[in-house]
Amino acid sequence: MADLAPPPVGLPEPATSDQLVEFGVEATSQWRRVLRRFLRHRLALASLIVLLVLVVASFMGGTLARYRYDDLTADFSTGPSLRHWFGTDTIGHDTFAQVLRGARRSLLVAFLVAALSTSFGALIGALAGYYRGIIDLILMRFTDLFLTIPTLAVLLVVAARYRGQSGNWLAISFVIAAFAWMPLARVVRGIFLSLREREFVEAARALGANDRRIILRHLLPNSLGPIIVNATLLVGTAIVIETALSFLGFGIAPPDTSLGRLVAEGAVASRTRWWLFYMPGLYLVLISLCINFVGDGLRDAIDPQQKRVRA
Amino acid sequence: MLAFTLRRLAVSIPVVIASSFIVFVLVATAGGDPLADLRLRPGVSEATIQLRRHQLNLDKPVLQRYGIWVKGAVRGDLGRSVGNEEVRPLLLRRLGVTMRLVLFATLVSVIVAVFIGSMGAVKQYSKFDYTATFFAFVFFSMPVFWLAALLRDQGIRMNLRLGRRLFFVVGEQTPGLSGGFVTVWLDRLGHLILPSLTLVLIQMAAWSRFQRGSMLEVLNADYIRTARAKGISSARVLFHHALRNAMIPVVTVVAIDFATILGGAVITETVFGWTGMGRLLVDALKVQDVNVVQAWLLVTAVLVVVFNLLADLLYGYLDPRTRTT
Repeated sequence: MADLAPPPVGLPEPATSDQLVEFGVEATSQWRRVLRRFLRHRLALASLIVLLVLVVASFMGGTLARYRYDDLTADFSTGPSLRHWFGTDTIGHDTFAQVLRGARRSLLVAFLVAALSTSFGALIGALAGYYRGIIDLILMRFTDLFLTIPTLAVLLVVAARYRGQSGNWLAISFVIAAFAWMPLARVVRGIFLSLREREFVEAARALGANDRRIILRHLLPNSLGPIIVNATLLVGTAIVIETALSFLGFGIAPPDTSLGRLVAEGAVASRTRWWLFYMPGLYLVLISLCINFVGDGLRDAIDPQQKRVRA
Repeated sequence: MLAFTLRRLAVSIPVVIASSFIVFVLVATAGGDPLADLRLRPGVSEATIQLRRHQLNLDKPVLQRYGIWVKGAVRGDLGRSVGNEEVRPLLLRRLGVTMRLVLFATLVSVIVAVFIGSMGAVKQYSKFDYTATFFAFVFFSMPVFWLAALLRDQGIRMNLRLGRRLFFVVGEQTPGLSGGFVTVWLDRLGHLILPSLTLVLIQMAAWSRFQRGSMLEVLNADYIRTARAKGISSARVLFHHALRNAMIPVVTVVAIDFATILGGAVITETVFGWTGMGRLLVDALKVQDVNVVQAWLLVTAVLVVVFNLLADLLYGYLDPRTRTT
C-alpha cells in the first residue's frame, strides 16, 4: 500500500497488520491482500472511479444539474449545447436532467435487486449445501423450477400486473430479484458442500457451536468472495433487465423515468433527434460496462488462481 | 448419460406443470378486462359481450378455468385467443418466424465465438486477445434492445446515405412478396441480417470468453504436450486434440443459454417490428390473453428442455467417456 498512498507527514503511522495481531491476523491480511491486488488492477480501478462518479452524479443530480427532470424549458428539440448538455426533448425536458433522474431510478432498482437476490440465493445455497439430503433435493428442484422457465417471459407476466402504476419500482425490483438468485444459490451450495467437510467446521462443532453459528460465523465468511463478485455482476444484470422491461412497456411507470424508458422513447426518434437515444444509452452502457470491469477485477483480486472465465 | 438426461426430463415435467399453474393464476387474476377493446367498439351490444365472456370462460372461477385449459392442452387443443383466433396455428406460425432468427443467430455466434475464443487462447495476451476481450466486455454490457435499436438506426442512416436499401430494418420479410422459393428466402435472409447481428454480437461476447478459458485449460494439459512431443503438426494438435476437447463445455453453455437467447429474440423482434413470438407475447400480456400466454410458455419450456436434451446428446458425441457410463 505504501507505494500507492504515502502516509501523511506528521501523523502516526497507520496500524499495520503486525500491530493487529491480537485482532485476528488471518482475516485482516487476507482482505488486505485482496484490496492490494484490486488496486493494482488498473482497468478495474479506473472503472470503479468512473462508476462512483456516475453513481454520485445520478443521486446528486437534482442539486447539481441546472434543470430539474420535470422542468419544461423554453427550448424544445434542440441538440446538445452548453446550455443543455444532452439536448432537450419535444416538450422541452432537459435530457441531461432526465438521464440523471433515470439513472438514479435504474441504479436504485439494481442495488435493491442485487441485495435481495444475493441474500436469498446465499440463504438457499447455504441451507442446501449445509444440510444436504432431502433439504438439498427440495431446494435444488425449487432452483431448477426457476431455471427452466424462460425468465423474460415470466418476468413480463408478473411485471404486467404492475404496469402503469406509479411508484411500481419497488414491485419491479422484487420481481427481477425473484428471477436472479439462482446462479448464486448454486455457487454457494457448491462451496458449502466442500467447506462443511473441512477440519475447522469439525473443530467448531467439537467446541459446541450450533448449526446457525457454524453457517453464519464459519462457513459464510469463507464463501464471501464469490458472493461479493456475484452481487457486483448482478447489479449490472439488473440494470439491463430493468431497461428491457421498461422498453417493452412493463417497467417504471411515468411520470417517473428510468434509463430504459428514456432509451425506449428516444429510439423512436433516433434518426431526427439522435441525442434522445444515444445519450441515455451511452450513459447506461458506461454504467453497465464499469460494473462488469469492477466485478471482473474483484474476481481476479479475490481468487487469483481462478481462471478468468465468465460463466 | 442418457439415463441422467431422461431423469432430468422426468423432473422437468412437474416443473413445467407448476410454472404453467403459477403463470395462469398470475395472468388471469391481474385485474384488467380482456374484453375492454370490445366494449369500446360502438354498436357492440351487452349480450354479445356476455356471450364472448361465456365463450372464453371469463365468467368462471380461475381454478376451473385452469382445469379447462389443462384438459384442452393435454389433447393438443390450446384454446382460442381473446380475438377468437385458434391459438395453435397462430403460435406455430409465429414460432417459425422466431426460430428462423434464433437458430440462425445461435449457429453464427457459436462458430464465430469458438473461432475468436480459440484464437485468443492460442495467442494469449496478444493484441488480438486484448481487443477481443475488450469488445466482449462492451457487448456483454449492452442491453439487447439498445444494441438492436442502434443497429437499426445505423442501418437506416446507411440506407439514406447510399440512397438505396442496403439493410432491411422492418419486418421479417417483404409483405406481399411473390416469387419462387429462392426469391422468398433471399428476401428473408436479407431481413435476418441486422436482427441476428444483434443477437450474435451479444452471445458471441459471452461464449468467446468461455471458449477462451476452456481452450487455455486444454492447451496447458499434459496430453497436448505429449502430442507435440510426438512430432504431430501444430495444426493437427490444435484442431484434432485441443479444439475438440475445448468445445465440450461450450456446447453445454449454449444449451443453458437458450432461454436467454429466446428472451433476446423477443426484444430484438420488437425493435425490428417482426411479427414473431415476441410480439405475440407482449400483445397478449397487454390484454391478458391467458390462452396465448400459456401456449407461449408451454412451447418455450418444451424448447428449452429439447435444447438441453440436444446438448446432452452432443456431449456424448464429443466426449466418448460419457457414452459408456
